[in-house]
Amino acid sequence: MLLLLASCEEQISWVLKPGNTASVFVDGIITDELKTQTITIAKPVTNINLTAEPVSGATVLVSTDELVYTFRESPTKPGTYISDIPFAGIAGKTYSLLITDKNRTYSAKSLLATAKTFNFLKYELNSNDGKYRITSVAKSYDPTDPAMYEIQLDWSTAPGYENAHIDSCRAKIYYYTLPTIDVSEVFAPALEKVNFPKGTVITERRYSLTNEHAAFVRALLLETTWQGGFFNTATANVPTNLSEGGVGFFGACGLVEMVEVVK
Amino acid sequence: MFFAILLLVLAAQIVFAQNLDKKITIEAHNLPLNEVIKQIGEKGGILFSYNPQTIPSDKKITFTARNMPISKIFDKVFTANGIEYVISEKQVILKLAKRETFSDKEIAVSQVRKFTISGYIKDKATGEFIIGAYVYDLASMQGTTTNSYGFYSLSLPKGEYLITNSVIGYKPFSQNLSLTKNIEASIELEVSPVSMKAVEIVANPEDVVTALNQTGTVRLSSAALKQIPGFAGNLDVLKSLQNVPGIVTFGDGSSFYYVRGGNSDQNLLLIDEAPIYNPSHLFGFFSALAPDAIKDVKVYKGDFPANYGGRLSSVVDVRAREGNLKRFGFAGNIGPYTSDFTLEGPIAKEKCSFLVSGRKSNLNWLQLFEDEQRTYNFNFYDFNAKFNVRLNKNNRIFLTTFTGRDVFERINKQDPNTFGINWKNVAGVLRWNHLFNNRLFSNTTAYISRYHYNLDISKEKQEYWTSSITNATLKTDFSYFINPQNTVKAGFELNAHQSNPGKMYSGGKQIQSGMAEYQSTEFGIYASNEQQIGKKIFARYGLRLNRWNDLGPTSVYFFDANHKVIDTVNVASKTIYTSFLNLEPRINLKYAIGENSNIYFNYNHTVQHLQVLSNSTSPFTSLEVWVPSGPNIKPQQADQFSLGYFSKLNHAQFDFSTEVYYKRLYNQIDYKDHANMLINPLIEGELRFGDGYAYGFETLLRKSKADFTGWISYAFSRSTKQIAEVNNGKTFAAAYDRPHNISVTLAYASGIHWSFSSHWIYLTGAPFTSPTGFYYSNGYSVPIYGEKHNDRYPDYHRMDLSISYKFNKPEKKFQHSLVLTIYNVYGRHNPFSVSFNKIMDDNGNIVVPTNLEGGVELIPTSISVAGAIPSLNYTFRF
Repeated sequence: MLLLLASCEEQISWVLKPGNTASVFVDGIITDELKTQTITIAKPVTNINLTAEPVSGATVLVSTDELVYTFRESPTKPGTYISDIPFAGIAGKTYSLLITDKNRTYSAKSLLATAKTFNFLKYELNSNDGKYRITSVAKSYDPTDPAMYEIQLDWSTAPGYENAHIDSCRAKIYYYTLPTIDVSEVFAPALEKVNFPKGTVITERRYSLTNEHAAFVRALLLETTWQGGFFNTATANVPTNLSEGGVGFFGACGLVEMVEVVK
Repeated sequence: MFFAILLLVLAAQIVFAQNLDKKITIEAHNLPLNEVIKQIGEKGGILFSYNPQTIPSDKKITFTARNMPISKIFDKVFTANGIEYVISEKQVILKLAKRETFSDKEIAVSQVRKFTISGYIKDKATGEFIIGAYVYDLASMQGTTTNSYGFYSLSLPKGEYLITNSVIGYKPFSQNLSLTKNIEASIELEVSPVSMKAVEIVANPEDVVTALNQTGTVRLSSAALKQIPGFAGNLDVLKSLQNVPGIVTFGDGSSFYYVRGGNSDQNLLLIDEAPIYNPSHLFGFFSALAPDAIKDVKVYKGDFPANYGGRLSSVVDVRAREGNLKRFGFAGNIGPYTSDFTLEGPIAKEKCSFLVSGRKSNLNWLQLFEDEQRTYNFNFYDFNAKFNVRLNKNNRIFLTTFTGRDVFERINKQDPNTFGINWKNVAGVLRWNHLFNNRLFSNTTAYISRYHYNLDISKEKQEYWTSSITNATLKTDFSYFINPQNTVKAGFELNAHQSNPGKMYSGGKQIQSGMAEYQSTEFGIYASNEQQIGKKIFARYGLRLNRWNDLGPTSVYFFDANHKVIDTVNVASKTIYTSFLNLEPRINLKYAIGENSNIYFNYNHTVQHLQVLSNSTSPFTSLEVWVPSGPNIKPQQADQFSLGYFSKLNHAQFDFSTEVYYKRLYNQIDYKDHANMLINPLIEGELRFGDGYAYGFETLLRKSKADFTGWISYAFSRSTKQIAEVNNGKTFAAAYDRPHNISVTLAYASGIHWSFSSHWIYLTGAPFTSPTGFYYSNGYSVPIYGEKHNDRYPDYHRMDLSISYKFNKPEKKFQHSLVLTIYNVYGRHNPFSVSFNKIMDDNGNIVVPTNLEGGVELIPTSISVAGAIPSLNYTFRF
């Protein structure tokens, strides 16, 4: 542990160099759930922790070969566009996104990857604090079946937390299975620990990923979760499937969901 | 502080010089010169240092001086008797004044009949060969140096000579030789005790053979290395290189080094002629070169002799000790982080010896820092063994083996899983020295070197990734000492390379196919001449011819302009599918200006066929893939021009050198964004190619003699790259572009017990790419980047100190010391990483956020190898 003993990580102040940023970013995944699908559009920010300015008044369409779905901006959440009608994506179909904002048109395409079943995550009790923590979700490397696992933890109804603020009783965690292994993944920096009490409702969703989507996720992790360890790789812009200088990713995923209450 | 000490020393010399105005009375009637010197010393309070063998100390003189300044007495006694004097610190050093040299005509006439003095220069105590020892005739200013095996050959016209053998750290030895036939003169030199240090500089052979100075080449003897404070009490060859202007180390805890704008894989590190691919332990904190086994280190950064090939930027040629031929010895270094031991001795006295040296980490006690979820295991060792036997006077065999291994494991406690990384270097070298006659020396070397590493994803499930590179070589080098003006060197080299860029296993079975292994052969031939042209010009010129072949069996992928695979060719076993033929001219010219200075010019063309593929920005060694040139990777090439000036100042107390260089590098490798470098059969499609440019100015002031020694160096250097598909094709600073580099090393030996050394280094911060904006995706703050390497880390600087106390007198057989070293004594935090993706958790820990529900407050953070790292080591030798 000499490396860790001798090393020091500290908070610093750092003035970022000015430079060009993208015009808009898009965050949205079409799934095979029957629901109103959402897509978020906003403008990038020039420093950390700044609130992104939403892109309002855009025209947003999602289409397949046969159908076109219109999205409307949420009246309560500017920049968030909701499909006019609930619909479920279909595995094997390619979904096209078309955004028109102030005479600029951004487009993206994504194939909806087939959903697959999975084994529910494992968790265990930590005797030191009497809380639970996740011990394993899925293997991190699989050359054929990349996936994203979204885990919602909700202990707002757990005994002792009924009166706590709802925001302090929820957590959302992501895990990934990717077809690649990276040095910075292997030597990733320390992660925030998330503990939860008995009675927590765990909702685990497995999003199947296409290889293109997995490549986006890998690059995103290289720039976020895996960045800042001892074995960083060269930084670069995360790839996008948006045209016209837009950033972010428009995805389409098969989804399987499992729920369990911690007893 | 260092400059203050330097000024104090210089001031002391000035004060001492004023003492020479003191008036004294001397009366000598037919007294030997050494008696007169003694009188002057007693009456004038002057301390003289001289070697009685190199001045006419027995010559009887008559001389009277009444109330005369000492400086005038010096002129009358010394100058009149052909003796020069030099004031060094608080002593007057005497040496023989140079006689008028032979005229060209005299030389031409006398060259009609020449004879050769040849032999080996050895250490008197151990019988080991001494590398780089001077052998010269002061009167004719002709001389040579011993080669890497301690051999020399000097051909001179028939006549009487006073031949002197000397090298720093040893008492010089002179003998009168009547050269009327070829003479074999093997000499044993005695190590200088501390009190004799002043005498060392009397010989001052560099004044005699200035033209033979290998300017542009830096030599670090074992003694010089010991003066530089090491990390955690360890003498460290690679970290010592940061003293050399033009060589930039990455920073704390890293063994990466960069020479004149070249990447770290463009440096060739040889141990007894075998290449070592990953010379680091613990990701780079320690060098994998056991300190006590090292005899000599030569660093070439701009004037590669033609016998070296295969890398663009530098050669670090490390020679291991052979082992004491006369008596058994045991030495050790015991410290809190590592311990090493060396055993050596004769197997047959004066004929055959061995040396075994091992080092092991003592890091297990640091497992105290394991966390609640994981335990860690760090371990490394290295082992060197050397055996040599003198078969007869013309043949000698050396066998060297080197093994170094690192193990790092991280073991999950709850869900037992062992993740780990381990690597291993193994090299075996067999060398045969053969002396055909007193002018023709040869060395034949056969070696195998292998670097292998594993990434254990789960030891329990036998899931691991493995990679390796192996090299087997047979080479022969000839040195023909035609005359003092010409030494011809020639040789050939046959190499076989095998590289496994990575295979994945699960359950012990290979699961990833398509990662083809590489097989290559290489044939190199070279010839060069070291030529003295008249009195002023020295030239070393040579040519190296290299043929590289890639062979099957393998699968070769061909890519289109968009880097997509368009064809795959399966090549049959032993079928050549790519060949490269390259010529590498090497030129080194020197012109002597006076006796103590020269200017020089170097031109080198170098070619490299093996390279590391890694897009890591980490200063620590991790997973690297070595691959050869082939259809998709053209050989890297470089042209380097340098122009320098070298001078000895202040009566040769100081060496000063300065050099400018320009280097153009071709077929340089970079990577596509987020290149996938592990378990990727199409790894060559991740590469992008372009050119590199480097230029700079280097200067070095060095005092390497007497009790107070030091190096002060400054380098200005720039290194840029232009890669067609990186940074929109615009030129950008290389990751190792550090424009300003200052290094100050000072060492002082106080008497026979105490010695002090310190080292201070300053480097411009390394470039990195910082974000110019962010966007949000699934709760992640994703950085947006503009120009590549648009920002720099804070400037790097650090001071290390070392204090050593020797418990015994130098003449004692049992020598032992305590060495206190403090790395980064003022605790400077030198970041090697700056991030914008972390939070401070409730316990004050800086972590990457996991809970992405709602907003997180990110903070900019930096990581550095921080704080002063002290180490107290006990060393012994008997």
